[in-house]
Amino acid sequence: MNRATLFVLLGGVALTAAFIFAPGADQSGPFVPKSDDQVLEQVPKSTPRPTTPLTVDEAAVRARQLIDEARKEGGDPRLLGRAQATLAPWWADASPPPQIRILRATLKQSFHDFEGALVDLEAQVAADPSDAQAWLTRATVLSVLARYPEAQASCEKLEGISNPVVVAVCRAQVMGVTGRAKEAMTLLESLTPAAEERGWVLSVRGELAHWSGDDTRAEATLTQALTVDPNDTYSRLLLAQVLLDGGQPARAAKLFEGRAVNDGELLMQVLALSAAKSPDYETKRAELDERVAANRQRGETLHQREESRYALALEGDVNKALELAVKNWAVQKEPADARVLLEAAAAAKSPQAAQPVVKWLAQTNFTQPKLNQLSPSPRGGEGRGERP
Amino acid sequence: MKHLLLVILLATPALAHKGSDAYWTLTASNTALSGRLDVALKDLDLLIGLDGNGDGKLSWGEVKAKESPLRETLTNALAITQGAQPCPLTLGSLSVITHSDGTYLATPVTARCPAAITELELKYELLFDVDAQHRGLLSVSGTAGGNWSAFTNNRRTQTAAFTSIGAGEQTGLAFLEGVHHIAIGWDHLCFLFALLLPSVLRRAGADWVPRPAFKPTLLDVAKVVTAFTVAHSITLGLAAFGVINPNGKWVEVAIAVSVALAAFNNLVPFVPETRWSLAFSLGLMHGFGFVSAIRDLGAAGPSMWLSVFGFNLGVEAGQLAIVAAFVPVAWLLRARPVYRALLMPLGSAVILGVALFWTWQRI
Repeated sequence: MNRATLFVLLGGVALTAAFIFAPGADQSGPFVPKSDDQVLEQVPKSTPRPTTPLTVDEAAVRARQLIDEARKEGGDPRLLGRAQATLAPWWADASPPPQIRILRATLKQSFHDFEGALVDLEAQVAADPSDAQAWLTRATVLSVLARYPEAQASCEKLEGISNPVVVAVCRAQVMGVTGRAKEAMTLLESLTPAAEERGWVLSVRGELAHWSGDDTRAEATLTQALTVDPNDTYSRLLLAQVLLDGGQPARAAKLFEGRAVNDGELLMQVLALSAAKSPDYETKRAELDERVAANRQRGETLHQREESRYALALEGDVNKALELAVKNWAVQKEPADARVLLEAAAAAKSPQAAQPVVKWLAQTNFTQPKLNQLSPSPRGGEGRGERP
Repeated sequence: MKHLLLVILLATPALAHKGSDAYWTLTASNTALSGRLDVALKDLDLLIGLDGNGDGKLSWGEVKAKESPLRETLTNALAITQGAQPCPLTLGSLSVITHSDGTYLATPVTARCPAAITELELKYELLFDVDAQHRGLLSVSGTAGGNWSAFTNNRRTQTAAFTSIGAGEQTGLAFLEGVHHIAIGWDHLCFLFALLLPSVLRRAGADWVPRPAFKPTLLDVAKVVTAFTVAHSITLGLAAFGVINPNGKWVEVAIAVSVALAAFNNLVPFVPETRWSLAFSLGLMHGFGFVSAIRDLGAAGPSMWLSVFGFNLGVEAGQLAIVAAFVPVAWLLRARPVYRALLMPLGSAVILGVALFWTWQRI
């Protein structure tokens, strides 16, 4: 055997050995960690799981803790599922204890079971008309269902049982989606909220500014809201949308940098990175694709609004986007849902599919110029702009 | 719509990170079932309390320390019955796997039923009592990544219909996959052609001249093919059974470089007469390249070796078919100027160019 042959053979063996000892970055299959010290997962430092059955009050406290924690974590569904499991003994009860029923309504609402939540809330306010939380949640759910007069009435019930800031914000939110966004802004600007309510009020004011077409103001107010509460996912998403609409995708993308984002935020981040032609787009897009695939395997139908946007903007599947947007509108009718349906219908060149939103715009006198531009049959002068 | 106290969850999608899912795959082969159960470590931590030192960081050592309660919990959560007869379950050795939302414990699950498997009653009730939104996602008969049907809090049992795959059929499917893989695997084909082009020639000084007799040609071909086969069988086996977990990207790069080297050796020979050594050394890389195809077969558990065996057989068959088609033609053409002046140098140069392009593309 000559030297060249020997060299080739040894080279092959050495190369193979290199693959044995090199870290296998490609761990698509199961593997046994090389070292006992290898950290595999971050877990909560203490998760004391109660071993004895909880009393009503204990269960309510624990479920509320989990819901609060979920909110801080951007709506972690694992924590919500745990909260639901805590309420399991009462989950199917026709008339559970009131402290359980309000939490059950909250969870149902977060699972997008708005009708189910409403049943619980009706029972709750009937049993205790001084339950401010129930009236407030009821107003929000009715608003999402586009039942505005009832939502408005629910806000009125807060008068006298809740502080003036809560009453005003409740009213302002309904006003905002019924053509009176500017008036609502004036109402909120006159408030002096307590420290713990400041972020909330700023966030709603930012949203109202966005709805009334004043994105400069929306940007300033939402930025302020995020300074008050950096974990405010709602304001961050809204601000990103405002920046994206304003042709500032790089700034929108920057909002999510270095944060553990939820799926809705990741979608927005990817949309922004794509618009900004950022080199980070590919990585984040792959991450998003993986999460969407996982949600589809799970058979989730919760997130049709986001899925529709994903299908339209990233997958380029116009028909799927429209189908999802239509289904989503049947469940929830917030301005963002209206926009998704309008965009999908426009892309699919199906003005007919957008009719429910066209009707909604006409009925509510909703003011956001962006939505009215997207609407296939623009409304006449009387519907545009602000009512005095 | 935003709300102060509780309602904030509303419009920010509740899909946050991801709901809690476990993945259970099962394949039937006559009376035997094999598959795998993947459960998120953060979910198991909630059930069992895996974080021994309570520092919020779960290490492999801490997981192993809780092996027996883990096995007990998993075993109690699963049940398989055929008619009224139970099919006793066995859990294999613990490993981990990465899913989109974190690290999961991965455990082989095997079971044996009293009779040939067509339809089974499956029970899954892990985690529902602590997470009412948890789902156990089931995939049967090796359709991994295909259709998943969910066990939920309200649906803890389901009847699953299995297309039982016999040992012969499993080997046969893997065989066809092996043939297919060679037929569509341009890099493997180019590698083979580059090594076989000079088989009908021999080196005389700085020139290639036609071999006068067929036997040395056949011997040369046999050496190259055997070396390639032995080499890729070794690495395919090592990687398929998890002894080596090669980095996919660099495997692809190494394969592209191997093709370039084989072609380069025809133009500027460094091992003209012992190309079998190249076939062996570089063939080792090609074996790593076959692993992803094996994984796509969804083979796992005790019958995995059938798939590996069948696949390898298919690769050899595909390879021999190409050799059988190529060598006689090359033999007949070997003395013509078109072969030595055109096919051999130009063919090698084209393969070299393509391989260098692949290398650049894959880095």
